[in-house]
Amino acid sequence: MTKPMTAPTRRSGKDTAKTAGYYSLLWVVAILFFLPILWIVMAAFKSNTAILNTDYLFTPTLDNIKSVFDRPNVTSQFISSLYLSIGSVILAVAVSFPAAYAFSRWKFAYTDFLMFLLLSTRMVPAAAAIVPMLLMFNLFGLRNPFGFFLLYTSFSIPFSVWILKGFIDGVSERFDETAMVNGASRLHVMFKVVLPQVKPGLVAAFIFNLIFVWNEYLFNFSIGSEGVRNVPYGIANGLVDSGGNVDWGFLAAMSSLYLIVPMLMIFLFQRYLLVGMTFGTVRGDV
Amino acid sequence: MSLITFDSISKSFGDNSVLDNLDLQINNGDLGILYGGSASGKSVLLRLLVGLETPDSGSIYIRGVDAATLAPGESNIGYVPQSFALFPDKTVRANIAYPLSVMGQTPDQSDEAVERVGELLGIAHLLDRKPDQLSGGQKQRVAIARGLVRDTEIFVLDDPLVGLDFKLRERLVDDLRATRDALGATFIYATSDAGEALALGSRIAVLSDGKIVEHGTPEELYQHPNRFETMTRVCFPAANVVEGTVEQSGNGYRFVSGIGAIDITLNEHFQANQPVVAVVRGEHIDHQPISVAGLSAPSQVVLREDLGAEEIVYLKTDQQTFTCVVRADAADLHSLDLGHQVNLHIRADKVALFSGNLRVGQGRA
Repeated sequence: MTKPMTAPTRRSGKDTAKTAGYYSLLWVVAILFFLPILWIVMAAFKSNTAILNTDYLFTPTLDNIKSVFDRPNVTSQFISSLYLSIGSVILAVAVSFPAAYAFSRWKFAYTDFLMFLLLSTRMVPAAAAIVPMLLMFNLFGLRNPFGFFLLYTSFSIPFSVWILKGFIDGVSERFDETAMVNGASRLHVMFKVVLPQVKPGLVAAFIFNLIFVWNEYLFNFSIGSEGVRNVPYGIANGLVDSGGNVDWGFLAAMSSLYLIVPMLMIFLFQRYLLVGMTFGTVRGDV
Repeated sequence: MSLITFDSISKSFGDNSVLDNLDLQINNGDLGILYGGSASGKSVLLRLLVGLETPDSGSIYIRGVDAATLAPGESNIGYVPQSFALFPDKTVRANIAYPLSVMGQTPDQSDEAVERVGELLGIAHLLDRKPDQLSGGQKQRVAIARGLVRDTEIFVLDDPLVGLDFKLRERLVDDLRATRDALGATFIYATSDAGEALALGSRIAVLSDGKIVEHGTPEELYQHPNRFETMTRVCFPAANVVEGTVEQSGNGYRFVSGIGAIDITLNEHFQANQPVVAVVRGEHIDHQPISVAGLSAPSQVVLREDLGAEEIVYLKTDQQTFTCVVRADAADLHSLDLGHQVNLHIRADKVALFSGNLRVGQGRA
């Protein structure tokens, strides 16, 4: 009687140690990755001297944060970043969902090739596209908020279609049929039957693209104009002061503020994001 | 006039012909069973009926209207698909009410109908749960309830009990029969389970190779099947097939097989030189000597399956294995213990003779 009882206990003890080991390793990796963020956030509340002396103990100050907003254009850069990223990504997801539904449900000729073609636009190195884009944006007069809104939307669509198609493929067509037999229209099926089942996919597409657009610097710097300058541009532009020195306080404060939106989004939607990470592949049929 | 008419329906998917010039009529008030093996075309036929597929040729008339002129949903048919297809984001109540909500009814308006079918199928206490909080049987009941909630007289059920365990199927078959009686509507029910077909149907159509090979009442098909598929499949367990030859014997004929010979009566059109098989159902195989003429052979009990009231006993002769149905309360059940040697006996008058797919004769006692 003793043996069968002690054996599992020993095994579970070993398992516990193993689990603890894995978690410790994960914590070490997580902390390593988090350290630069911690450094920059701490630096945002330090004086310039404290930053350069790499003090670990310091008296927190809000001077850096206040001085960020004293600079011209910073507020407008935050506003541009917000509406360009959130607006364009919402539009991209809204456009991508019906496209992904069509790719998923109608297996027309060359579907796979079209899907590849769609994603191939994201395989072109951004630097290679700058000159043609500049010419095109000049020609059509798109170096304005509306043009950038379209640019970021079009950049976000391919990836969104791919993510959403994966999720919609995971929703059995039996749902569509059940709805249609009961008199539902195709639009009803799309928006009332399928859409609620792919919410994690919508959120995943939204977050991934939001992070991309929020971080976008190259196009904003090369072909943007005053009305579309975003926070990454603002950081790069304001990094070096008139004396030629790096303004670490500004960099830290601006970066810390810049982190708030993606962090907030990830925190709010983490439940969906974790499912979204699987790109809709881990789903049961009905 | 029949309520539903399939007129020369053909349907192929690529090179695969699923339905071939099929004709079928379903009358008002029927509980019509479409019975056939897997991939026999049952589901396709029902999908054609509800408008999810279109026939390559032929027409379907629903209440006298050509179904080709109707979109899915316009024919007002209650449909229970083979898969549950319960909307995971909706409660059971909203799932059941779905057909009514599509028609524009508010939850307040549909609640009475939802409660009614919920009561009928014994799921009224589950109405506020989500589908992922239900067992397989409960999900199936919800799917059936959603199909039945519409105010219509035609309900189509596509093998709704497939994949459920035996006891649950038995209970749901009883519930479905009671539900159908309560609604007094026309049911079209596809199944590949002979027990379900016989227990539920008022008429059964046997579908094989894309055609209705035989149709009739359960009694007609069970007692006097004219097609080989009907004889072997519309029963549980599957019937036993004995190979043999037909020989002239005086003025009549005899069926001669490896387990004996019996006198037979042949249909007039039958040519005696055609290959013939004898088919006998499990309940007509005895392990006690019989007083009338028949086939018999020594055998060994190789397997037993307990079905509760009955047992299926597998008797292996030196040529083949027979399935035999024995009542679980039979006094001599101990003689059928595994490994025991018994003589199996088949009454001659319970033997049906088939040549190809057609019934050609009968054994004579």
